Parts: sequence; structure tokens; C-alpha cells
Amino acid sequence: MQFTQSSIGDTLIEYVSEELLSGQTRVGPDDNLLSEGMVDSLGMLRLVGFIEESFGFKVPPQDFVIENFRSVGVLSDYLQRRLADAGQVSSDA
Amino acid sequence: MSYLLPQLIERTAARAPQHQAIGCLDRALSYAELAAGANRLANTLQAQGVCRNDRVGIYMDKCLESALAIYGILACGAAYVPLDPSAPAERLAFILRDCGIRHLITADAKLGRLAQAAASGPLPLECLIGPDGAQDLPWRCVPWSEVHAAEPRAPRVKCIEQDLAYVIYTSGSTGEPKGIMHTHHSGLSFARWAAREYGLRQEDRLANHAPLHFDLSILDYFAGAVAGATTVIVPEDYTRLPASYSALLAAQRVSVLYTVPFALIQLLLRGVLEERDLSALRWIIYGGEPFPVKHLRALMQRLPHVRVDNIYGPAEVNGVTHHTLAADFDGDSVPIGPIADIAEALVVDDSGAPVAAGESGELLVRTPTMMQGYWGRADLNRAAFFRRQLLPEYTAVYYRTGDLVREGGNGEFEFLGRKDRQVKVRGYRIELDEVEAALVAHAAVEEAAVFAVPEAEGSQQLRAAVTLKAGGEADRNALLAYLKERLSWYMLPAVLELRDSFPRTSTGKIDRRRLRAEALDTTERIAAGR
Repeated sequence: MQFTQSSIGDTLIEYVSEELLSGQTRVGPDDNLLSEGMVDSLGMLRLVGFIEESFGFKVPPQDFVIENFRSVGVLSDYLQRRLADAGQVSSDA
Repeated sequence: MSYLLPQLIERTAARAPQHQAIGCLDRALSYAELAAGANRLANTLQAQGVCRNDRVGIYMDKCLESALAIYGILACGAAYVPLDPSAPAERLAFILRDCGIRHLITADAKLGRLAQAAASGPLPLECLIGPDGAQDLPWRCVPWSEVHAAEPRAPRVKCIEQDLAYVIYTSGSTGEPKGIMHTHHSGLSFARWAAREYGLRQEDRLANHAPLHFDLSILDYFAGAVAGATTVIVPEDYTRLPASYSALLAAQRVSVLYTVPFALIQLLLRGVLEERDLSALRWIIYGGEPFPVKHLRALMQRLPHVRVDNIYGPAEVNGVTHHTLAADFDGDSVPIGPIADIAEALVVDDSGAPVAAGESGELLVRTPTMMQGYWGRADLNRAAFFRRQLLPEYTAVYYRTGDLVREGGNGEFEFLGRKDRQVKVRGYRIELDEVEAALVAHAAVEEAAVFAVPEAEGSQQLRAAVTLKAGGEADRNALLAYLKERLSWYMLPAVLELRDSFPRTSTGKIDRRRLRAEALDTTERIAAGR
């Protein structure tokens, strides 16, 4: 499966906004997902499950850390790197 | 001899002033700094009109300042009221009004939510400590820079051990949260018992995982302070990402970890414990809800050098039983342990008569760690306490836990369930009636049923089923959004189903048992791939 850089970000924004935040808030790429009232620990687990399902990539436990999950922006950067390692990212152009 | 909670830190500040009292990532406070900082805050609060027995709120994420807030509020003779930092505006407003909170220790990041709370109607708030007041707010603001310039000596204040020390709000079955009142005496009695029972010493580093409005934090702070030990704050974002959490436990050399089974299961499954140096960890204490034994055994095998204890007790009485697990324990459940040596247990039947040894019944507890009562709720207080004549001239007061137990021959109690509709979700206690009341308050909702089912992560999850009024319009997301404005995040149903009708019992009530059985059946079918 091939993903573009922007499709990764859009897919994550859509899922977090609609599913984890019940469509109440449109999450921005730099919003802190870990601040109070955003995504709780169970929500974080659902997000990992969603990544696995949508991108066919299993997040290794050692990567399930604040530095990679703080915001949709850093999370899509992380996913791009890992998917690129697996040859699954093509450029937007 | 200390008889007030803030005296605990004064004592260590005099004996070992440079010893670390509170750590939070790369920041820390020594006992001398904590004591002086708390006194400065106490003097500031007094200057702002706080009197003995006033309630002062703490509404912020955990950090060094929230620890200062606990002791500063106590040092001026007031009681602290920890507010859930993620609570929606309506819940926040309810507690501020219910408890008559005029002064609040808070942070700039919380001002938006406070303004929302104020929009719902008048609040008793007068003064905020923390924000710099740059924003246009209807309250006086005192920034930390001003607090840090105040007098570091303890203010003169009359306070006795029966005075109110803290009020913890918990889910209430009538649809509104209720405030559990503890005194210096009850808090300190528990802290002393726990410090002795867990052999806490100055070198210990206790993790503070729980938010301050969760009673687990009482042990983290006050039992730690009894021993002159260090309390290591685990910031909220670390608790959501297990590998970050375990890295913090290792880096901070945490020796005692008190938390809920859900968090420990996350650490076990996703915390890469095999890569972390947890050699300093000597004791894991869990409470809040039962620990599925499969995961508990795996955790003990992963950390064979760590002693593991199950502690039990509703927030109304603090911890009152505990059980140390044998490395090779058998069985499918873990006892909650014998009653603490400072407490007495009585198991009664529905009529209030003691049951025969080995029979099941409701657990009543008589203990110096017991609450004073629920704030402003005479109705709940009448039901919560049980009076029993011990001598013709002496009547003892017990707290009715609502928990069903059975005492084994060895004095160990076994937890059998609840008498009412209270459930635990990831350690938080929730009255299902409160969630149903919040749903039914929506204009479009006719009836609602909320129930709990087990989840794969070792805890439970809430499910809600709703019928709409004729002509009522609301979809699932609208109802969840409505709940989110009223309930804390841990009270939100994971699944919300709109139905045309409910199954009924023979008396016409919603058949919640059948709803739950249907939900379990579906979950099992999905799990089995059918």
C-alpha cells in the first residue's frame, strides 16, 4: 500500500477529530493531544489500533512515547519515516 | 508529635532541609523549599482573605506548584479541594458552587475553561492564585511571583486535628458529584498507618500517578511526608504513554509505585519494561479495582524483585485492608486482605445484623481514617453511617462501604461486588445513575440505560443505550458531545447506541441485565470472529 505525506496527516486528523473527539473539535496538526480533555489513555490505544488498521504498520511499544504522539503533526512525521523505511510513502507531487 | 498535615513537612524541613521533597521531571523542591513555599502561599492566601475552614480549590495539571498548593492551603488553616483538571465546565462550576470556593490555585491554561464555567451562572470565586491577570477576568489574580515574595514563616493560625483538611469529589448516584470531607486527623491517621505498613523511609521515592482528586494521591503525598521521603510527580501525559511512563520510573529511581491495575497492565504490555532499569522499585501497590490475575502474574514474573500489594478502601475511609501477594499465589482472585490493625470490620446482612463467620454481607468499617461526612449532604450522611451500641453507654459509628465481602478463616476478606450500581472504570468509581441522569437531561432523550462490560485491557467500559422522545432529534456524536460537557472523561460511555425501545422486566423497568448480556454476547461473537 502507498501513502502520500499529506494523506497520512489528513487521515489522522479525520480519525482523531471524528472518532476520538466525537466530531466536537477539529484538531490542528500542532494541537497537544495529551493536554487535558483531549485524548485519554484508552483513546491513545484506539489511535494505535487505527494506525495498524489503516497503514498496516504495527507501532512497536518502544515507539509509543510522548515524542511521537504529542500531536498529529509529530505523529504523521513519525509514520512517514517508518513507512518510508518500508518503502510505502510516495511524495505528494 | 504532629497532629496537623503541614507539620509533617515542617519537621523534615528542620531535620533534613536539603532532602528532596517533591520531584517533577527536571524540577524539584527540597523540604526547606517546600515548607518555605507553602508558608509563603499560606501568608498570601491569608492576605487575600482566606480563613480557617475555608475551602480553597486546586485546579491545574500536576506540577511542583500543585504540591505547594496542597501544603500552602493546609498551612493557613483551610481545606484543599482538588478539582479534576480535565473536568468539563459544568462539573467544575457545580463543585465551585457546591463547596463555596472563593479562592482557587490555578494556571493560565485553565482560564478558558473557568470563563466557560462562569458563563453558566454566578460562581463564588473571588481570587485566583497563579495567573498573572493580564487577561480580562472578573476575579483578582495573584501571580506566583507575588506569592514567592511573601513571608516564608508559618502564619499564625488556630487549627486543630478535627478541622477539615481536604474535600474530594466523587461520582454521586443522584446525578451530581458529592464531596467527601476528611480532617487532618483522618488523613494523618491513614498516612501514618501506610508509612508504617509499607516500611517507608527517607530514601524512598514514591510515584504520584493519581490525579489529586483521586484519593490514591493521599498516600503518595502524606505517607511519603510522614517518612520524610520524596514524592515523584508523574505528569498526566506520561500516564497515557506506557513507554514514556516506564522511562520516567527508571530515570527517577522510583521505589514505591501506587496505582491502578489498568496503568500496570499498560506498563506490562506496552511499557518495554525489559529495557528499563527498575532496580530501585521495591513495592507496587495497586487499588481501585480488582486486578485480572493473568496480567497480575505476568507483571510479577516480569518484576520478580518487587513486592506487590493489593490495598482496598473507599475514599470515605482511605485504605483499610491490604494483602501482600505471594510470588506463586493460586486461584482466580486476590483477597483484599485482613482489616488494618487501626480499624475494625463488621459484616452485616440487609437488616444490619452481623452475619455468621464465613457468610457474605456488606462490609462496615470503623476507623480513625474515616471521613467526617459528605459536604452539605445530610441525606447521604444519614445513609452512610451505621450506629451500633457497643456498651449501654457507648455507640460506635461505622461507615457503610456498600461493598459485599466474605471473611475467610484466616481473617482475609474476599471482595464479592457492590450492593448498588457503582462501578469502577480504570480505578475511577462511577455511579451509573449519574451517567444516566446526565443523558436523560438532554432535551431529546426519553430514557437511558448505562451499564459496564469487561474490556480487553483488564478494566471495564461503559455502554449506554438511549431512546429518543417522539420528534426528538440527536445523533450519537451529539449525545456524546453533550455528555462531554457535563461529565469527566472517565465517565463517558465507550459505546452509545440509539434504540427504538428497551427490553423490559416484568415490572416494566428497563431490563439492564438483558442489555448487558446482549452486549457481552456481541463482544464475544466479535472476539470469536463470528
